[in-house]
Amino acid sequence: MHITKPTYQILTILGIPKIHTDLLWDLTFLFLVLGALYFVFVFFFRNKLSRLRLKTKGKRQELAPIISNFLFHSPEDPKDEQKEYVQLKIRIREYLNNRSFRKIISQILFDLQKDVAGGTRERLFKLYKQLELHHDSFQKLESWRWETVAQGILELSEMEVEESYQLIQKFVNDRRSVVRKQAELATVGLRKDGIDFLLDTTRHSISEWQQLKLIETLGKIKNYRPPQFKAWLLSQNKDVVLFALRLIKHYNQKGAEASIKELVKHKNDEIKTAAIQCIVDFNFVSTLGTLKKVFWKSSNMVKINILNAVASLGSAHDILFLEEVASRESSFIIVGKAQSTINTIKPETVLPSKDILKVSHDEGKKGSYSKMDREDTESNVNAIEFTYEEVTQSPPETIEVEDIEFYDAIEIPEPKNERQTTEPMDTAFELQPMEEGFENSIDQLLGVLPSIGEDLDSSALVDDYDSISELEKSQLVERLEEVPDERELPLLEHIAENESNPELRFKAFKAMQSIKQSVPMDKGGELPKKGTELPLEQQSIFYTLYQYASDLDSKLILLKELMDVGDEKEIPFLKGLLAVSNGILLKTVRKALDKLEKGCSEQEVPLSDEMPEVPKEMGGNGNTERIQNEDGQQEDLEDDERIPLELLFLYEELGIKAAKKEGQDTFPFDFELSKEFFLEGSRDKQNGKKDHE
Amino acid sequence: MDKRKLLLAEDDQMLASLLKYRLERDGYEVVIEFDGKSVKENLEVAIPDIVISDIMMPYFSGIELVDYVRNQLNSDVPIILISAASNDENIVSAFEMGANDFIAKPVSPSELMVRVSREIKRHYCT
Repeated sequence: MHITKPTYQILTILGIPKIHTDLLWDLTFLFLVLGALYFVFVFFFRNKLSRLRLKTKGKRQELAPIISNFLFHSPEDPKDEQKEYVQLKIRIREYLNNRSFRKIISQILFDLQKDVAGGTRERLFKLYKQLELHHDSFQKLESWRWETVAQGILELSEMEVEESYQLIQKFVNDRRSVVRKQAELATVGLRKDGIDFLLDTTRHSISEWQQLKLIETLGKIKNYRPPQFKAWLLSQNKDVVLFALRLIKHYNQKGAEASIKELVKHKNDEIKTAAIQCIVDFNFVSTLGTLKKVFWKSSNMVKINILNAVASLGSAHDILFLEEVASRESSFIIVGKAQSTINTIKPETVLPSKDILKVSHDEGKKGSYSKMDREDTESNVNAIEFTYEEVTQSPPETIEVEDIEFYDAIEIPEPKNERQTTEPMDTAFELQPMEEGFENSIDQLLGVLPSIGEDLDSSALVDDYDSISELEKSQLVERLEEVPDERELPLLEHIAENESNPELRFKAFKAMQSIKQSVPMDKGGELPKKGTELPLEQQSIFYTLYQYASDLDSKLILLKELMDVGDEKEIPFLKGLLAVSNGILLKTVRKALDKLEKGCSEQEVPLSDEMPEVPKEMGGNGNTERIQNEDGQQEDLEDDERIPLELLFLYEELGIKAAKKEGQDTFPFDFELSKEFFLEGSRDKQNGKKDHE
Repeated sequence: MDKRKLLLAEDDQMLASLLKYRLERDGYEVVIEFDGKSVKENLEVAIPDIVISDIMMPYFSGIELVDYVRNQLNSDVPIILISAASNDENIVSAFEMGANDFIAKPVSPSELMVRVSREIKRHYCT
């Protein structure tokens, strides 16, 4: 038996396979045939479709005058036209037997109804029925394909075939959404009571867009008298309720006040919101009470809507409610809305308080506010025309004025019992003593604590604190926390120890801490020691600049500058750089470090040898490295190589010049002296001796 | 009496045919053109007594047609524009260009007849 060898052998992976050339030719032929078949198939169907299109166009052209004739035919037409009409009728009956012709006629009429109006459109609908084309649409309703059913419903509703109403109704709850929506529109459009049926029977949701389309369809019905839509506010379907509310609003049916009032209590937020909107639109003021009751159990969005309603319908009587909302609500959005609502009802009742600085004024004393404020005050004061008047009543001891700038500029006369007469001038500005009640009300408005002032009586404050309400306590502690004052320390301590509310206790404690931290600085106490805040290497001014230097050149330039102007502060920074630098940068860092270290050692040597002794009577103990400060505490010159400011004046009196160091004269307000001061002094002495010699 | 010549420029064949039928019944001699280019060519040959044109047409819009008739042909032939897009911008620009009237779709053929006869009276009988 002869066994044929395979056409190619797998000898090696990289070897060239031996392919039978006949097989290649066979494959080529096969693909050519397939390609030809494909092109024939494409050409065939393309031609078929274009022929069909041309045929349809021809049929349309043929049918167009026939349809026009039918549409504009009148029994009063001349006999020739009557004859032509009859002939066309016979002809069209023949056409109607052809299914494709029926389809084309149906399509023509459907297209035309969109473009024509008036009597022509009415005649077109009649023609559609006379030609019994609606039966084709009925057949479409029986299709299992959803697009065919939807097309059938659309044709019947657009051609206003009222007989189809019963057939279309059953699609209102169809599970296919496109069919269902088309059926809803058809049901509403075909009969005046279609909307009633829809609202009664629909089980599905009605989208906002669909609602608008349905309202548009209702608008197209001639002589439409809408039913009382409040009947559907009881529906179990929330979308029906929402649609009913929309319809009530659209048709302005104000008789549904009680029902809408009840809907405000609905558990669904959408319905609540729609009902509130209705209330606002219809101006149902009597529902405000219900809205207020519902408010506390509602979501934030509903609360905002209720506050909007209160803003539209409310009066001054509702301000109490709004104030309660502003105080009780935790959400800042609601609080803000409540406050703006108050201002809507009664403008300028609530004034801005967020990030507003508390301005307290001490009578007769200036300087409790910043330099900028003072400048503003002076400029404003120049523009004020003062009035001199007869003062018959003693002015109050403290006056709280909203605009402190005025107050500072005006001198309050000392209390005098005797009548004082001054020159009258322009009455552009008058400052009159405030009544106590008015003053209190201003204080209340501004949130200013009446007892916080120069003559603060802490025991009275503590007593007052215990007697105020929880809300006031909370506000007070917040204010103390925002603007801590050392005079309030007793009160804060009292709060921190005795307050039952842990939050307030914590806030008081925080305020105490911040006061205690700020007191030593304010009182000119000791400055924090160097190195306690930043690592040593970061204390160099060059540290930050070096971080921003992006390329080698700028780093080198910086290091060069550092060599020229740097001092011992830069040494830790340079030591840190040594570890991370390489190449030319490393060399430059080393060079700078050597230079600075050398410079420092040169400075230190004479310091120990030549530094003049600080007189003992000035607190000095003869030791050049340690001097005694004003409080008798000893400072280490290594840490702070400066002498107190008081010594500067003494040295000036003694004729000793201040030290000048390269690179330091850029800080003119540095009143402290470096150790070079001593060097300069000793050099002067030596020079003086030499000159003398 | 000679029939009034009317040029109807409308790309919708069925509507054009319907309006033509209606206008011819009322004694007008109607020429239909389905795109702006043909309308332009037709106008270059002879200017009709009245032009009815859709705004949205292939090649040449109704507003461009008004501009062409008024500025290129320097003709004051009455022009009535029809459009489904009855936005203010279209209407205003049509009148600014020199259109005599505007009808929004859907068109009532009876209303169109009244407007055509009114324009003809206004233009030729005063």
